[in-house]
Amino acid sequence: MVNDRKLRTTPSFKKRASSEYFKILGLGLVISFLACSSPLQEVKLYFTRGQESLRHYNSAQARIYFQKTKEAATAAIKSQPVAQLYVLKGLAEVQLEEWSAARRSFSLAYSLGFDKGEKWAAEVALFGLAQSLGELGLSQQAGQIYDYLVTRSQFEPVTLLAAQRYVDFTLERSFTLEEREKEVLLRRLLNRVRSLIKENYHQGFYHYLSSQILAHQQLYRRSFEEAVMARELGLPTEEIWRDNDRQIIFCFRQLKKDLLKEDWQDFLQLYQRLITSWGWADEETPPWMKR
Amino acid sequence: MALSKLDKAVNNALKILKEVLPDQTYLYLPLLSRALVWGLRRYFHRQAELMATPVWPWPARIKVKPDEFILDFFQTHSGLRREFATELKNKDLKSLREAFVYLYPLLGLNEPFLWGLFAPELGRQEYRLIIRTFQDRLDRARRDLASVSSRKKLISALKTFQEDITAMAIDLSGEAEVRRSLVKLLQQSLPPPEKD
Repeated sequence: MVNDRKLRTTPSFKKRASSEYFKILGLGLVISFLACSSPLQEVKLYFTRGQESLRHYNSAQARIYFQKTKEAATAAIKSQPVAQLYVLKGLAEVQLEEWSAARRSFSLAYSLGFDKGEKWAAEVALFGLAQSLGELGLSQQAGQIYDYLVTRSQFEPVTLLAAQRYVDFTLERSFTLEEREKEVLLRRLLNRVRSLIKENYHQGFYHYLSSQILAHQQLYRRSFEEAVMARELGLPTEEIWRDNDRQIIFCFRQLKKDLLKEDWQDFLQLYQRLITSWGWADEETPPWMKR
Repeated sequence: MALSKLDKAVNNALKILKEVLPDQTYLYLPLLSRALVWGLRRYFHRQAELMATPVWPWPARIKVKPDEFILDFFQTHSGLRREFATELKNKDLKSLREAFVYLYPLLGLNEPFLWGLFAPELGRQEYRLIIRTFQDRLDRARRDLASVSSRKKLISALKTFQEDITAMAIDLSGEAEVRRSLVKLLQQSLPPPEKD
């Protein structure tokens, strides 16, 4: 019986293998040619790279890819005006925060048969409007729109941005209220963010927002847990990452003051395990912090 | 850490910086400091950002941190505790919050560009001077960066510096140490900074 190794060295096997190799190579070349030659594929490729960059906190690189997505889609639409291209163009415009352009793209996608296009266009337009109102100083009206989008939007990029603005806006408002009113407002805000977490548990940013609100409620243990969750799941930018580390340290200090001795010992053990796994120099020094 | 390698990387970057920003020596440390952080974190893509947005765009959330967070920030930093002793004693949250907006990105988040821009004041613990001059200094830095003679050359120099830092395989915890060495090397190679 010829063993596998010997078989691989026989001239006929080499010839067959070589022929298979060239067939596969040829097929690969054809596929990559088709992929490169299809404008839709090119647009998809840029968009996927943009998303990939966002996942790795490469916001500037992501921006470049979303810009390329938009340019490639605009060019492709001239010869092939299909709904998919308008959707990709709109998604890239959302990332570039070009709200009215995104609204137009989604509307056109809808007119070409993309059912969600109408709803997305309306949500993007609303977000753009809220932003303009905020810039004009009409923060109350802007806040109402963010509130609506956080509750009703089915379009994740808009929900995420609206949640960020809504939390900032509501926290700012809470400073102007009496203690009791403030408590009610913060509770409502937390519930709103919690429902977002339920739907998108993997989204570290929502856990970060939740941790920030809990600190306003002086619920430091829960704020700490949410900040840990945010750290483990990932955050969109370096500055938010560092702010979240600061939040963890702040909660650690507050709990040191608040917890009973036995509870503190339990907490400290957990904290030590976490910071060891994160590579912190000590309880209050993440690697990025100047000593 | 291989100091001679850092020395070489700084000198290479300085050659270009002196060429494209001959009169703005105050920008060398902020730019190299930021490139250093990106180099340590392998953020090769962010060199364009070094020019476009010199500082991190901090969110509106910084303005709405809870009072306890702000008090903790001032109380646990020895320099701030001393400088803002009166405000802390009187629990003057209004003044502390105003100061916090400027000082938190700098001392809380260690924003690398701001750290470089205010390194002399930070060294002398002149925190109130930082707050007073913050906006003007940042506006000036933005203006000077916008009118740089060769943007391409500057980005290329910073990119090379970033790559040199990455190649040195410095541990992330070495950021503070490398920053200190960076200051030392710049002090040796440059005339004393101009007074504002």
